[in-house]
Amino acid sequence: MKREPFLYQSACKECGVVLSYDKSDTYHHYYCPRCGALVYASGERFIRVIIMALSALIAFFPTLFMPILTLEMADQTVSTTLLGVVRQIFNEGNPAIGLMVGMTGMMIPLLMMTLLLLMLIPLHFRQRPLHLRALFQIYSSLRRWGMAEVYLISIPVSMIKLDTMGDLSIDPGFYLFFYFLICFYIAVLWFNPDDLWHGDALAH
Amino acid sequence: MHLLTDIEAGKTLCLECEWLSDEDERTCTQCGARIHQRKPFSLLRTWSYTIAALLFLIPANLLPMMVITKLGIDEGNTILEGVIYFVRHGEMSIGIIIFIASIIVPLFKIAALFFLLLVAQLGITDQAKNGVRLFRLIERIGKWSLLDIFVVAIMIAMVQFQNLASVKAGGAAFAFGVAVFLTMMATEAFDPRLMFDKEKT
Ligand SMILES: [Zn+2]
Ligand SMILES: [Zn+2]
Repeated sequence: MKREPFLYQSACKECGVVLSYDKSDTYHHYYCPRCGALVYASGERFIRVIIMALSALIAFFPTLFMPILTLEMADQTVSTTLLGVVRQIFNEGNPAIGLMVGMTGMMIPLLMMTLLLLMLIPLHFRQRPLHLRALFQIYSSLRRWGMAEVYLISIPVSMIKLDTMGDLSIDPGFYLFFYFLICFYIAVLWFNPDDLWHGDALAH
Repeated sequence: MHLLTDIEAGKTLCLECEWLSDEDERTCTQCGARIHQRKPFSLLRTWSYTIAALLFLIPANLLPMMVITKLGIDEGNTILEGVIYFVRHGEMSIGIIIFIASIIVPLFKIAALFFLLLVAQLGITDQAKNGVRLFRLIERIGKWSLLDIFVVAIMIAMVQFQNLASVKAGGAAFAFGVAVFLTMMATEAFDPRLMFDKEKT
C-alpha cells in the first residue's frame, strides 16, 4: 500500500532517547539504537484488523457455553465450559480466584476485541469514533492483563492430571477457544495504536 | 556518538501512544492520557510490590494449592507436591513445565526485579543494557506463572463426583495468585529509563 512519507518524532519507551522515524514505512521495523527496544512496527489496514477482531468475537460467544472437557468416572459424567469453571469456583466459595480466572482468561480479551471494533469500524468509514481517547486508554491499560493463552494451555495440562481419575475427552469448545485465540493474537498484532491518530491511509 | 534523551530535549513521552509532548504539558496532546517524564514514584512502588510479592510466595509454597477428597479422605497438594506427582506418574515434561511456571518463574522475576532496582537506584549505568533486556524478558513471561491457578480452577470444575471425589482450592491458590499479580504490578511500576538516566554524557 502506498503512503506519504511521514517523519515522526518520538522517544524510546525503555531508555529515553529521542528518535525520529518514517511512519509511512510499512515494511521495516525500527529498533532503538541505544537499547535495542522495538520502537515502531507498522500496522495493518483497519479492515483486516476488524475482520480478525470480528472472527474472534463470533467464536467467543459460543465458546463460553460449549463444553471443553468431559470426565467420566464410575457411572457419573461431568463436563464443563469456560464459564462453568468460573461459576464452579464461585460456588465453592473462592470469589477471588473465580474473579481472577474469569477476568484475565475471558472478560479482558473479550473487552479488548470489542474496544478494537468500536475504535476501528468508524475509522474505516472515515468517521471519528465517539470517545476515541477514552476507548484507547481502556484498551491499552487492559493489554497486559489478558491471559486467554494461559487459560488455553491450562486445559491440556489439567487433562494429564485428570487422566488417572476416569475417562477424559476434549470437547469442541476447546478447539473453538483455540481458534478465538489465534484471531485475537493476529488482531492485536496487526493493530498499531499509532494508526488511530495518523492512519488515514489505512482506512479502506 | 551521543544520543539526545527526552529529558535533555525538554520533552515528555506518552507511554500510551508514543507522542512526544513538551515537558510542561500534564496530559498528552495527542491522546489525552496523563503523562510524566518518568513514572511517578517508580522505584518506591517497585520496591514495595516486589517485597510484598516475596512475602506472599512463602504461604504460596507452604500451603496446599488444592485439596483432593477421594472417598472421604482429604489430600492436600502444595505446588512442589504437584510437580512431584507429575514426575512420579511418568509425565516428566508436564512436571517440568509446572515447576518452571510456578516456582522458577516467580523467583526469577523477583530476583530480576531486585537487580533492576539496584541498577536504577545506584546508577550502575554499565548494566543498564543488560537490565533492559531482563526487563523485557520478565514483562513477557510474567503471566505464565498463573498457569497453575488455571489448572486448579479446571480441576475444581471437573472433579465433582459427590462422595467419590472432589477438589477444593487450598490456601496457596489465593496467596500465589496475589504474589503473581504483585510481580506484574512491580514490573509495570518500574521505569527502565531510570537505569539509563545517570549515564555520563
Ligand atoms: Zn532505547
Ligand atoms: Zn498519548
